[in-house]
Amino acid sequence: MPGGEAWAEGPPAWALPVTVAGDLVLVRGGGVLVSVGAICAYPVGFEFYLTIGFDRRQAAGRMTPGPRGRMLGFHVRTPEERQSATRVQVGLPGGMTADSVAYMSSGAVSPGEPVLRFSGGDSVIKPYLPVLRAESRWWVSPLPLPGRVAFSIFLHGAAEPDGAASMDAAAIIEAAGRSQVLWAAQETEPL
Amino acid sequence: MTGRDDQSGPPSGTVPVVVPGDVILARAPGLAVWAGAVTVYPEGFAFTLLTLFDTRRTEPPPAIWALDVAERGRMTWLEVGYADGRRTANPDTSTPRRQGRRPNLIMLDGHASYFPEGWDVSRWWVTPLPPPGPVELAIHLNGEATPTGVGRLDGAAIVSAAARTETVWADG
Repeated sequence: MPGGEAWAEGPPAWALPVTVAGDLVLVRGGGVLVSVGAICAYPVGFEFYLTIGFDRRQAAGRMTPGPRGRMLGFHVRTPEERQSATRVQVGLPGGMTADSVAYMSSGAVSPGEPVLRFSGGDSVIKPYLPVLRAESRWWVSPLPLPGRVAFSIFLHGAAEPDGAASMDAAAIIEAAGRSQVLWAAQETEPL
Repeated sequence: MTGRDDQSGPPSGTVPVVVPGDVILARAPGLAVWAGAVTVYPEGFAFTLLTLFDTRRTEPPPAIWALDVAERGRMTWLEVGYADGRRTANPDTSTPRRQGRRPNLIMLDGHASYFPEGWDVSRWWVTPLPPPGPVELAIHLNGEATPTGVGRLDGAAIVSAAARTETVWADG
């Protein structure tokens, strides 16, 4: 199963995941906190929870300009968004890197290619929210090979990552092996 | 604890701790309800509820979530019970004062479902933290008065994880 050929566009609707504790801190400082928490492993990939928080007392300089200003957003559809979008990368053992920009630009993925796809939760932080926090879920497929899985975050259109952290893929691979297949897959069933 | 309203959801400035230990609330032919991705904060914990059903079976899909107490008779709803007897359910339209000592249970933003593909996923926030002992999650599909299924999270593990969280700043 590790690094296998098994691939899916999104979390399968025919298997139950197994949770692994990521508990990685990517950014901590300057009024920003970014962490990777739960990682839910499936036979054909894994989903991770990315949490981004801003301290309101230090947040003024982080809002994008314009009438639709936001503290954070992942979409990359307009010229404004291309300049300000927050980007996620997952480095997989073997040298491949999955990048959120590909999916957040077009909503399309290439079958069989390593995919990093927004799969739910908060995709934006609006400045008027009482708590400046977003928890999003991201789908990665296929499962990693043995080695290190590295998570990187590029806030607000940054060219260089604001932070990164990595974990041993063995925990994900082992959990995927315990994922319970419920019934045969259908033709298309990404979440 | 912070000075913010903990009933609005998790705080922004805390490094949470994940508790592995997923549970299956209900399992029947062509149907499964799973809870996991338990993420603990000093004020409470979040978890994901995932309902999967095989669309090739002939049964109708589970009803969508009740939005009002009056809809509990025909829609799907969730109960949470602590080991000390405190219980709560969603939806709960009573005011915080009238909730008394009951835990508070809310569905966080981001609920999604797509019945043609057979899935429903929601994220929940429960506050305050439970006492040590089992935390009972009871799912009532389609307005069933008796739970369709029950899963039990490890309250002691949640309490232990809360002690390992780190608050970088408090929401004002």
